[in-house]
Amino acid sequence: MDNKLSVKDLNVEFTTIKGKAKILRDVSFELKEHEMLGFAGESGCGKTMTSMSIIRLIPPPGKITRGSIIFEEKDLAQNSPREMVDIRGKKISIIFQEPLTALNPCYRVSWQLEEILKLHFPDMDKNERRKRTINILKNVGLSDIKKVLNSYPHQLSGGMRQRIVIAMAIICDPQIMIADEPTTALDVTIQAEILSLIKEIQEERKQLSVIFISHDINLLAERCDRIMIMYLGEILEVADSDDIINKPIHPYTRGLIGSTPRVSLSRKQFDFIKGELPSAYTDIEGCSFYNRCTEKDESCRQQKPELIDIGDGGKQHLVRCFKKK
Amino acid sequence: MGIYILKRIGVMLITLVVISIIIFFLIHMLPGDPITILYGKNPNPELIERIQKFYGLDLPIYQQYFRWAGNVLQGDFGASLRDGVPVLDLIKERIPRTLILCFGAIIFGIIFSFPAGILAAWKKGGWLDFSLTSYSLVMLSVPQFWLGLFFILLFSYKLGWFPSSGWIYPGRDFIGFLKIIIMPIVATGFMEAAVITRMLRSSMIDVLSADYITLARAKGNPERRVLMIHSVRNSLIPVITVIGFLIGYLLGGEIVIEKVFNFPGMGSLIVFSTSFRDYPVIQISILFYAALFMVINLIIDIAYALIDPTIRY
Amino acid sequence: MSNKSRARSELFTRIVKNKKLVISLVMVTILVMLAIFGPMFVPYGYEQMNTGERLAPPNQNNIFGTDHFGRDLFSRVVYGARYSLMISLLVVIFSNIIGITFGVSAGYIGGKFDIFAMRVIDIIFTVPWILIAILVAMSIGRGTQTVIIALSIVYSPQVARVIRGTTLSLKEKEFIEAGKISGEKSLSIIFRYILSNSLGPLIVQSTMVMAYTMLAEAALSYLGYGIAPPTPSWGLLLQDATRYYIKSSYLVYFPGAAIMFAVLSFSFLGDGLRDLLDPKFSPLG
Repeated sequence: MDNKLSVKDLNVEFTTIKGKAKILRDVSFELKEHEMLGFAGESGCGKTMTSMSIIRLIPPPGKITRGSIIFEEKDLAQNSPREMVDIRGKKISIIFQEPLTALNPCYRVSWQLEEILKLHFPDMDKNERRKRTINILKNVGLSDIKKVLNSYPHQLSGGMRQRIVIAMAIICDPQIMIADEPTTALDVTIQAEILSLIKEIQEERKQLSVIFISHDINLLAERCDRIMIMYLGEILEVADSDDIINKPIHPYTRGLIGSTPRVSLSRKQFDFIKGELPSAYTDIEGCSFYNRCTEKDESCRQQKPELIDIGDGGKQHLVRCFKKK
Repeated sequence: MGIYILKRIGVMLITLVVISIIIFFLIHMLPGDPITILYGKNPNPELIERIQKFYGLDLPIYQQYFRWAGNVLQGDFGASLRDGVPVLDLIKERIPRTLILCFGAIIFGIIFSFPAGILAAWKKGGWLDFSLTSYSLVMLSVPQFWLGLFFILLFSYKLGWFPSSGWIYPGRDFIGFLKIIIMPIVATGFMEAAVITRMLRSSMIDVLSADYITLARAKGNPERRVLMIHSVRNSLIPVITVIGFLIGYLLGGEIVIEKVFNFPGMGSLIVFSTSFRDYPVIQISILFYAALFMVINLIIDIAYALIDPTIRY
Repeated sequence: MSNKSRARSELFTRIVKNKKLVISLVMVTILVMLAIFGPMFVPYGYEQMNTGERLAPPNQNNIFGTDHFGRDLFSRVVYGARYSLMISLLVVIFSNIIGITFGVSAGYIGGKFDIFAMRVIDIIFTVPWILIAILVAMSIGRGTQTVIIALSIVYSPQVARVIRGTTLSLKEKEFIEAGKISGEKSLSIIFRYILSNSLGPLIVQSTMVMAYTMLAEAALSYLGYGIAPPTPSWGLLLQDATRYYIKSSYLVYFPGAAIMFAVLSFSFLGDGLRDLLDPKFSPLG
């Protein structure tokens, strides 16, 4: 199989007192071997929910109502909890945004790292575990390792904690790693270090593909191979990073690129996307971006555009818009 | 930590001294002369003089206090005004019995409430949660001594399982001993169990929504481990705090329970002695309970340090 | 709608949506009605003996049965409501007065007085409540006033701590200064601001104190330190029952149920008020 992960027609719903909210609508995409795929979009567009669906940790009252998530020839959407417990942390791992609350305050770092090994490699002996933990901390760029291992999370800085979280994510040599806004909560100086670290890890490990989630599309463009734009639970555009940045087709994509502050020689004006997200509880007949789009016409309201490949020369470029140029 | 414990013990001793002074002066200023109570309105004056000399009741109060304090430090706790029995003999046997009741009740409370609280938090919103929560609320509203009476009605008279009063030495008949202490312990600890259940449930619900719990799941922990190993320890701090608040209530309830079950411990001794204004006995008994309270609080504070790594003395 | 009335109707909606609050308010109202008007409608006086056969189980003449003097249990339980509620209310009032006085002075004056006050509070905390009650009972004998005095002393430390905390945090804040500038005396500034800030937690705590007091008073009367017969405190009813309850278990069940109902309603009320005042919690609990 050419694809590490293949998601097809994924639909996730939240059922609350207010009714049914469609969080993910017919999401389909592929994660290729040894690639870094970026998810871009505003808060609430479904990026995090997609990744949570992959590891089946959607918080209640959310549920997958339709679709498949094919990984290693099995459909994760159909897996039992026990099967997922085997996969999480070992084959698919995840890094969250907030390092200060990611680690359990009651246990030492060594315990928290060795726990993953004990869970997934029960036959590994103590010395081997120790070796692996020390090694992995070296890999993520930590020094004074014995001290770190003996420490409790509250004794370490945010940057160090995030490195430990990354270490936990790769200690079992996973196939897929999901990084959900891993640097948003960090100091600007540390951000760059962590981003390089993640890129380094992805390049070194040939069996690893990374999904990188961020609201900052320019950040994604600098490091990802491909980028996927999401909005209101739908995919609007997917293409190589260069194409997304230089030849963005969807008006939303263009808005995203323009609205991220960027220091460049000629300061561009921010192109703010006007308007607000419509409620997830309503079913939208036409294009979901209609009420905020600046290039729409009547047909956009009546029919929902399909995701169509307009790429040339063998490079895939998917867009969900009637106005593809 | 060792230094901390020493400091606390120091504070305890000072507090005990202060309490003993307060009680001493309070008791001696109260109306109600033990002589009159014990020997009637027209006692033999010669007898009175001898008794007064023996107990030092004719000395000024502060001298009486120092006499008493000095004796205590040498291990002489005085003698009962009622019959001259040394206080030490009176309390020797009763102290361990009361300790069994108190600690038994605390342990019972914990054993009973932990599974309940964890389950209620795990299955939040379900019928199990609802029944456990309502049950604990009801248990909070029942007076302890009423519960004791009810137990006697049910288990002693209706079912004939347990005796309703008295004491059996564990060495002599262990099963009989268990049968006799089980009702008092449960009656004393029930309210505490209810409070802990509610606190643990609410604390666990908070903890379960934390980031590190989601990460624990993402690491591949089965739900059972997420609950027991990752959540419980983090939920304990507010629970332990609540246990600390309850100790005073627990000790008070224990005294009442001793009366309900005719349990020959320190509680019944106090109740008995106060009606006779038996100063020496009352003094020591109150100090006992004060000391017990402080020791339990110290244990609780040490527990804090063991559970929460951010707390270091 | 003006802002004020909008806020009021919002508050009203929140109250109504909170089931706990509504149920407990109903229960407390029933209790208060019972306490105030109940005795007017009961068939017998609480001291009246031989209203039926002695130690008779519940029957047509005596709904809850009779005790060993032939006194009607139902009437005594209803009268008991009045006494229990009244005593608990007085304890709440007095403990708050003592606690607020102590707490404000400790926080405001600070220094040595503060340390002294905190030591006193610690000592009151260290001695189990029942021993304090016993000491008071020993000095002034048993009775209603004993219970009130003893329990007021027992519960005032909690109030004092809360108030002291608020005082300390408010002492530095600007509006004390602002108030001083506009010419108010420091003491009245304190009372106004501190009380209005702590009012919420104080009210919640007071409902809890109501609940605890009813339990404590029952225990004290049961032991013989509390209310003197023939005044029908629920605790006394249970003490009366101890000699006869093996054969006449209803003597235990009815007063017990009454105590439970009263304590439950105030605990519930406290819970509900806490939910209401804490914006974090939703009424769906």
